Amino acid sequence: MAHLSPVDLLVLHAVRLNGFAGTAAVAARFDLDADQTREDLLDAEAYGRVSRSAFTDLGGWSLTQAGYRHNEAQLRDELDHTGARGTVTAAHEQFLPLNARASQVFTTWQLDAGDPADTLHQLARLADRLHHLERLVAARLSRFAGYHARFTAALVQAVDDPAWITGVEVDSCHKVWFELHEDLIATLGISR
Amino acid sequence: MTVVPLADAGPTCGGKAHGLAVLMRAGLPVPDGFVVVDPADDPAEIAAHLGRLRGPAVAVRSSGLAEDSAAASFAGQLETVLGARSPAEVLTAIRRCAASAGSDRVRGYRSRLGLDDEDAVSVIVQELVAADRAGVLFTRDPRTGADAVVINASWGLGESVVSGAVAPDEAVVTAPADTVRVVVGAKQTRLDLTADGLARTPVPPTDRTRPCLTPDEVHRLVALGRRCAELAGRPQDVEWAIDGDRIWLLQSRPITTLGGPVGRALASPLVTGAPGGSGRATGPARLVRSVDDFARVQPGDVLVCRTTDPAWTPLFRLAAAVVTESGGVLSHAAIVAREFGLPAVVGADQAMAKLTDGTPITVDGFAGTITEGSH
Repeated sequence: MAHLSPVDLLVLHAVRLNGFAGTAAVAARFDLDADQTREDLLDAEAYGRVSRSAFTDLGGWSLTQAGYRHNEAQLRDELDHTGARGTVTAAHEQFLPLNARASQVFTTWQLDAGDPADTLHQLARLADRLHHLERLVAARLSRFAGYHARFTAALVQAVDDPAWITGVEVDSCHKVWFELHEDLIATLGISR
Repeated sequence: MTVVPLADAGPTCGGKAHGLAVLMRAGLPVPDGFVVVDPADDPAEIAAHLGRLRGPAVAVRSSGLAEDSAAASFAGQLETVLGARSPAEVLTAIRRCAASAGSDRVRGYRSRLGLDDEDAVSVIVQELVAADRAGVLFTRDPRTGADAVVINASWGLGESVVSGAVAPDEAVVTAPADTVRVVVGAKQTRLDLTADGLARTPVPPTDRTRPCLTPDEVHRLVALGRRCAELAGRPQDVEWAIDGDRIWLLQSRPITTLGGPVGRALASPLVTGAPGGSGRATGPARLVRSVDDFARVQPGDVLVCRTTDPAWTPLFRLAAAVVTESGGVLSHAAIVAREFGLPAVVGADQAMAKLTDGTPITVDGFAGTITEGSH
């Protein structure tokens, strides 16, 4: 049975994975109740774990250093408590060679050397590997579910609009991939 | 007659052209070419000379009168255009190189050195060597003045080494026994002439970790470098390229700073790394250690950090350029920087230690260099 993470962990972790996001986007990340999420964010702000800031025309929440430390402590306790460390470590090891290939595909695409059909084909193959990897981890920690669905949704969009490959304004293939990378290293408490 | 075959170039053709002509006349392997003494020259005459050169493309470089003299090395100060093909492209490149002598940065450099202003420069048009390996050679160690030949080498065209875009292999050959000591550099990327023009690509991991020169090639280069020093009568700084089995000499000039820091360029980079995103930008360095420093970032700052995670993406909207200590050309930071069209240098070792918060720096996302001030 997959472990369900507590809401306060999910709220803080959603801020970390989004990097910088408004309350609605934080709630949407793990499909949490918007009002509950707002309350939790205000609590976290009182503890100095998140701060509200504005960049140009964009306002949102981000973690403070104290927030990073608290998030990492919660993730570490969760791994110890559920005994899922071995599974996540194995998934991270599987991820690294896939990440090298994905970064190569994204970079080649951006540098105008990537053929669109070939790029989509290679990303589709990575999606298959991602599916396998996600099933492995999500079987222990349910919060890991959803990356494959978002990645393939981006891939479908990319057929008509290439911004979905590496774009920063949409939930592109690269954005999903980057987020999974962050999630794995955050969960294992390692640095990039 | 104001277009001169390279082999016939005299002192009035500029220091670089004259130096190459001396090497050619001594039988050393120098790619053929010609010198345009008056840039307002007849296009038909230039096209005719171009027709006599071999190879698909040429290198176009300026050859100022005082340039390459013992007093002043203009390394990186005057325009070079690599890979021009058609007569129209070559003509444009010639005009650009000629005009570069009048640019502000060159004038500033000349006045700092107390050189007279010169109105026009000669321009060299030379067959471009499709180099598989290339680099520079000093016939004396420019850092210590010791009697040792120092070779810097990397994959592809020599621009990668000259501009400081890569950490090259370094071979130090010490007299009298000519013992060779090689330190393998990271050689992250290579620049090559392709059918579509110049292309910079990552070097595969297996080629990064092995030396790009064979011991035999090191000794052949040393012998050629010593011939250049003999002909010039003083220690030389030589640019070379290898195409297949053939070694070519592209330039030879006096070493300008013996015993000082390596003196290829006065604007020698403060930090180098892998070119992450193309373009070039200047702004105050903003050293960001953690999210708690985010509020300090102002529009137009150069973001300098160890690494970035998704939280850092909003900073890319404000920054003029990005420098990260970790990562390579394939890193997330580089991918995101390209999406924002930002110049980026990634894998810039010790950037946080070597750069000072608030100091103006210039980030060259094509060369992979960070230099002081604005250029």
